[in-house]
Amino acid sequence: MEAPVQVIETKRKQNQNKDPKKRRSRLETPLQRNLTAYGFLAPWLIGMLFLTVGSMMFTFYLAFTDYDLLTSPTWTGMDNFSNIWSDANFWDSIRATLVYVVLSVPARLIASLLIALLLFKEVRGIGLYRALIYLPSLIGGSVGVSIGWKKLFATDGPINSFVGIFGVEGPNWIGNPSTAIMVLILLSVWQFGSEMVIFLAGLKQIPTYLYEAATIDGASRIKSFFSVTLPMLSPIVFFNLLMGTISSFMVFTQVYIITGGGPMNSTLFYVYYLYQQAFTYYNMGYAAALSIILLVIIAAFSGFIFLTSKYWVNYDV
Amino acid sequence: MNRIKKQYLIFVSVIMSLGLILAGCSNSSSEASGDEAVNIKFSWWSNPHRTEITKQAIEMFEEKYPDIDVTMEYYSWDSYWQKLATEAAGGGAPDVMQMDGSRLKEYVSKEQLMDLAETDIDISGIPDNTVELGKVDGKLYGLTTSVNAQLLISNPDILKKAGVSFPEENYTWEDFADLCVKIYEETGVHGTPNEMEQPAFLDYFARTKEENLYAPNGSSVGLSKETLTAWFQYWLDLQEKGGVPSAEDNAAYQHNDHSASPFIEEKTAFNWLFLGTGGEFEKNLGKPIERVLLPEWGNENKPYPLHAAMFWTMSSKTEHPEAAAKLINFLENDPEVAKIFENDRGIPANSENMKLVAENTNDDTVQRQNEFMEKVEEVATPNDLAPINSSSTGDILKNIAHEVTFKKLTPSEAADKFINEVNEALSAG
Repeated sequence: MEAPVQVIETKRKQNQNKDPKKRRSRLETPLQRNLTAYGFLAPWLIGMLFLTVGSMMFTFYLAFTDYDLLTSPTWTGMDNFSNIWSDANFWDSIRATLVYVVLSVPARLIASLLIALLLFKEVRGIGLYRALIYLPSLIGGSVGVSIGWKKLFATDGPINSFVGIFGVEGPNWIGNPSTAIMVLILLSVWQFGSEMVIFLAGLKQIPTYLYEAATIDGASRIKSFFSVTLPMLSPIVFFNLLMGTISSFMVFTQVYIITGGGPMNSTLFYVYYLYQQAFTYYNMGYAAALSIILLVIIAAFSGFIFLTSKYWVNYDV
Repeated sequence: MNRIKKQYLIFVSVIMSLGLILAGCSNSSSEASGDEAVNIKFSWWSNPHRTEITKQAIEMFEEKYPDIDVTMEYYSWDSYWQKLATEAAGGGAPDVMQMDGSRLKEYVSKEQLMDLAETDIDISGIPDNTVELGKVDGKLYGLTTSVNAQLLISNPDILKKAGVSFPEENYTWEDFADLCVKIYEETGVHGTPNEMEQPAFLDYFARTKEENLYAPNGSSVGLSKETLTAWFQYWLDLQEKGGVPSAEDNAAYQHNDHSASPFIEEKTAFNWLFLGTGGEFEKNLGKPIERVLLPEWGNENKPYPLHAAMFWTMSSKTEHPEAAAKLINFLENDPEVAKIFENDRGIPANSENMKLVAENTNDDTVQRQNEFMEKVEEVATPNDLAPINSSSTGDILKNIAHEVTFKKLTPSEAADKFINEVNEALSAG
């Protein structure tokens, strides 16, 4: 009965003895010190190297080739890039995507902030309301929602039946070049959920004493929203603006299902056009060049947002 | 034990287990070349019904040839071509592939397909005209599963309400336009959806004018500007007079989504389509439809094209050519398979099987499709396969057609634009 206790004691002793020495040796070689961490990171690192970095390098190579998937790529130098500038569809897709980004991102920000403010109030069952309102955005980008949305805006769909009650004849939303993009923007606004949750978290971080101070100073609720809430939320607005802009550039499912890029290329979004080139026409090289240009565009927009951020984002409490 | 050693051990074992996983993945695929059972991969684009009947046929095949094991892959049309191209790019194209006339030449030019004349597939039961459809440069790369033809379907109730009847004899494009306008004036129902954006229909229009969509060598558009302008003008005039729906209604309708066709909602009296899909329309409309020949079918130059609905093809890189050939032979010629397939892939290419299906079917639609096909075969000549690099023609025509319907382009400008863009696509690559 005594033996096990002894073993444990000696082990503990050994550990105690070794510990100071070990610290020293760890400091000497950082690689050894972090080996366990690298071991656990390995699956992700390998995946990242092969699936992400590898694919990116390959895309970069393909952009300078003519590649139709079936035969091996042939080097064409800058041909893909020089062809892009004279491609009318490319400019259509740039225009459509910019309209979409410029209209949908702010609209979604405003919608998500307004709803976050509504859901911030602590009333009975607020948890349920929050969950219910967040729920649709979990499935927002899915094919099912897109099909539903398409039916909703059909000529004889529920939206037009509703306005019909007031004697207004609804337009053919999807068939009209000027309204088709609105349908897609509205769908994007409706997917406010994740931004809303982040805004809610942000609202909870604002110390109540700031509001109390504002009330004492005689600020109205609107005044305190603009002078307290908005500045305090600005880092979150910045985050949502950045993520929203990036994801809006990459929108695909909705346009694939609802409009198919039409009518007359009015909703030919960039990624959809890229997909068409790659998988409908098998111009993989050209599509790779398009994706590199998209990377540059997104980087430029993100950089611009970062540059302006120092004028309006407030990190002081 | 030294603690550093222990960390090494963890690191090494993680890497090794990952290596084992990767090795395990690659092992399974190279095992197939054993001497007993061979495994072949067969893929096709599908719909739920086709999936079910094709699986039945494969079960029968595996029973008959116990030493051949078939791996099945089936997708919807769009995904099928993406998957197939990616698999072919990786050198692992399925041994047996269902192929479409719009892609056959492309796959042949990339040396992905095998000459079926070199295999034991029996083509004696198939009419020469039909075998001819799958030949590229004299070699039989695709075996026609079944034949198909363009046609108009009509809703007899609407015609009756409008007090018009469909011409029995040859009739002109103008006759058809007048009929559509008359129906609209009498009933408020449009004549037909606006089919300006359908390349196959445009090709037929060209054939009635003794031209073709593509030049014989496949490197340029074969249409004259005059014919193209006439095509755009034809549909634009119909749109002005109510013969076809408005530009907005047309743009909202994606023509490859048959379940959304205005014909099914009884908003048009006619619908242009391929014979094989008629059953789907009949089911969705919920009442019988009539099948009629396209305008000017009786012209002296026999404009009516005989289309191959689809082909069976074999990968040029297959490791089991004999097993793959057996599968194609079975799907193409076995009478029991034909009885299961009926007209799902089109009217069977094998004449015996076509008769067999007609005698055994309980399906009215199949019966009427066969009767119609007999009419077509009397007036039809085989059509050419689509040239390489022509896969963007559909999108080009669709965009231009929309610009014409919204009056952003005149028919003559549209014709120029179409010729430029298609020529550019054909000469690329």
